[in-house]
Amino acid sequence: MAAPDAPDFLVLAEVDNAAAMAGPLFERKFGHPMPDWPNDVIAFVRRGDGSLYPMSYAKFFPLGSVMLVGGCCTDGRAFDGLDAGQRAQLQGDRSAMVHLLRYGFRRFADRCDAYFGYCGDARAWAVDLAAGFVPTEHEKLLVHWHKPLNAQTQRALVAMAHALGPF
Amino acid sequence: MSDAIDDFIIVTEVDRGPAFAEPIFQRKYKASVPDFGHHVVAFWKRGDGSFVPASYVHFTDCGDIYLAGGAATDGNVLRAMDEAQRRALEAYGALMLATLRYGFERWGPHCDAVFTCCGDARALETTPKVGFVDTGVPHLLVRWMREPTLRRRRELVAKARSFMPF
Repeated sequence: MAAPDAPDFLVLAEVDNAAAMAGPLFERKFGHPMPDWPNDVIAFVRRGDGSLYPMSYAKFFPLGSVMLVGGCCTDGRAFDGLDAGQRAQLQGDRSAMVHLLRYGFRRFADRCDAYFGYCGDARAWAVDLAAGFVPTEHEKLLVHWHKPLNAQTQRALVAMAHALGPF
Repeated sequence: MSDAIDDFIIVTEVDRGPAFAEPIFQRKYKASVPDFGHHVVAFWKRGDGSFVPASYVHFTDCGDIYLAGGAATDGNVLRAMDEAQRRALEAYGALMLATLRYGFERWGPHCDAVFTCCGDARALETTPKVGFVDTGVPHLLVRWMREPTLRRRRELVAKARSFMPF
């Protein structure tokens, strides 16, 4: 699956052994080891020497007919190896996390009916909206619809996600 | 894998093989990485937190059998490692062992056998270390994941042979 809207130096991928590659980043951000759940996506920066540095991470956790998107984190040090032009390509609504979330939305589209996110941080909220999430009527709860679902089904899925509480 | 190389070698399946392994694959086969799964990559983990693709192998799901092929390793990456890492890797055997073992662990429980097609003398030194044995068909090796009957083995060998070369 290609990532047509991402710059060439940003490599987006689902990675089985994500803990070995993005585990330290996750632990720095959340203070505990990365949960051993599927499915993990990582945005790597490809540097001039061909090496890949994990810049952003997100988990798409399947729960029934939906996926919960969480664990999102970005390593600011990944910018160190980028030139000014590359940095400019990752600003605002074109950030690595925006690309990564969109990649996950495409990657897992046939495995769920909707994606939910839970976000209490203003900056992350803006990133989520840029990626394609929309707010629900519940505080901090976001949803991304990628299938035509009737209104009743949407309400039921939102109610279920809301019942989970923070995730 | 092996404690000795776990610190600096990370083996994982990635969904986009070409994005990680195209240069390695091109160098060896003068062809592109298959555009379908499964792609297993061994990365060299460097001290600065970055990862360099060092070795690649492709596993194809054929139902009751898997085909392992397209194995390739970037010698330049191995040479860029420090001496202790190179020694640890030498003691381990070959990086290809790590990617193959990963595949056996991941998909072995779901199939009767994994086949590989191998005519390279150096690779043939490595394949027995992970349990590959002759099938009687030139260049076709098998690692049995279960204990099929003789008749069933013949059927599976015939099936694998129909895909050659892979």
